Amino acid sequence: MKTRSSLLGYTLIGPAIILLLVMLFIPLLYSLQLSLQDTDLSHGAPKWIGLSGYRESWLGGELWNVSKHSIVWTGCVAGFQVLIGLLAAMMLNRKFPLRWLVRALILLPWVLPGVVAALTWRLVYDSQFGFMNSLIAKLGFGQHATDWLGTPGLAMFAVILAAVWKGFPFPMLMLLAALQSVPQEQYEAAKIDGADTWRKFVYITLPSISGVLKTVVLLVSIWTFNYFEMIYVLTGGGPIRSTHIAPTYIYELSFRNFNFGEASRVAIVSFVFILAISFVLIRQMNKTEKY
Amino acid sequence: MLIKRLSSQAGFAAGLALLLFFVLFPFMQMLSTSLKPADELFTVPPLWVPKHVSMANFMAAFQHKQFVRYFMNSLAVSAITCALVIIVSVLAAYGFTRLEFPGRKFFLNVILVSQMFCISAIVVPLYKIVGSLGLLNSYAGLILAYMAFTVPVAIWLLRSFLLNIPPDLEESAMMEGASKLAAFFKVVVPLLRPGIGATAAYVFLMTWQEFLFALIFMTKPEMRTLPIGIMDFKGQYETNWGTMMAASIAISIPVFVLFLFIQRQLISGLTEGATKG
Repeated sequence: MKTRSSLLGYTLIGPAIILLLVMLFIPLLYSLQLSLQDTDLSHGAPKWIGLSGYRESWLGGELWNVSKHSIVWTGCVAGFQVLIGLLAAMMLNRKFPLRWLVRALILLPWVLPGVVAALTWRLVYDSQFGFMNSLIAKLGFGQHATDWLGTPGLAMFAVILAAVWKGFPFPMLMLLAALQSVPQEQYEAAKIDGADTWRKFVYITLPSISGVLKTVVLLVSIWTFNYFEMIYVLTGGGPIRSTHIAPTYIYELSFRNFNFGEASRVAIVSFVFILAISFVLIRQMNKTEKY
Repeated sequence: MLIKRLSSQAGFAAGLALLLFFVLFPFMQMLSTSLKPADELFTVPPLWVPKHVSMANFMAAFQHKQFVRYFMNSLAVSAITCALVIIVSVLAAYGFTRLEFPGRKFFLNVILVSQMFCISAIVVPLYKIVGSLGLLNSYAGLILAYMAFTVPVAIWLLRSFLLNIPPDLEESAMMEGASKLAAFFKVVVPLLRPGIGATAAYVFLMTWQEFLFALIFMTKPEMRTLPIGIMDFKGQYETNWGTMMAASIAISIPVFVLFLFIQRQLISGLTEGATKG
């Protein structure tokens, strides 16, 4: 039973709503306003330029590059996090000795502070002292001094691997909980019908966890898109700007070049992009689940 | 049949071993580097297991001039944020689950949308707003920003815990003459304690490691929090990896310990929040 009490209701949710209004929604409008101004320091005082700033940002090409990197980054990191998370969850869903210990160890990267994870990977990728090159040598592929973070083609791969490592335990936790709530009778019935493992996965497991799976994909995509410190610490967007994603680019534009207008244009484009992803995924969720 | 079972067992074990190796590989480097004495730090190729174990790096990290200061800053910001977020969110979650008022659905959706907010889109305006309030380089500015990012998730978590507490309990307390708020504090809050613990732990974990806003809001060295402060060990030309890894372990330990204590409630809160929607 819910009590009808408007005054009390508004008083209780008031602080939270005001906080979000002042710290999230008003800044967004402010961002929108800034994005319509030319604030390039070399052009003198800020002036109103309307939407033409957006057109020039696109034609300039840098925004397009950053968008491409952001999409590759978000797609790969979120995709592999969920994939590895699902595989790990399926392994941990079986019973084996010391399972609690394995689960605790797998959660370590996720609990580790983000900047610590980034600094550690920076050392792992170091061309001289890093374990990455030394692992390759130990596996018998010869002694190399690969500079993982300093080579344009490799750097993106390197930051993606590090980010997958940092974040995959979260999807694993969620999916493990979902797997544990799948009714066992269904598997037994399928076994009697002679279904193999793959069929059981496609026809029983996947439909039962699809709700959680979509929520997880949504959350992980948004977090990955906004994941700043991994790239900031590992490459700073380099080499030759080959790993700049939206947050690092916004940071560079606003706090290195003090071009707040251009930074706001990138911010607004990012916001619209995230909104579109969320919208598509939420619609997907509502389509499959009618409750 | 037996061979098939054995080979599937072996495949399973190999998969698990591979996963564990992937997870633990960077930790091996972290631990090994932090325990190496100075003369073993810069051997090429690196030694995986140090020949001699030394605590010198840990001593050096703690003797770093500002390390304790950073630690206290982090602790103050995280603890105050935690307390304020819990107060604001418990009240709001109660309002959303137990009361009916016009616009309830709408405001609940506002909370949901805030969870999916693109944080990098508001870095610049938030910096300007906090700056114009004169709150750069103060705990208050950082705490306000952290509250904005954690309150939506906190409300969502607490709401899922509250939905599990039957309203009959409060009703029977109110029948016996307790006011609505008294019933809430005497009956609901004690039952909600695990949920509050889990939510507080989540907020603490998030704020303890937050990087972007700590980086732009705290420009004065003495106001930095640990995640930014630890970058001190990364010199401009040469990084002292030994001290840096020792400091990294030192700042991770409070988080590990906290997580160990709270993991069951936190995991059940997060998963229920996600599965219930």
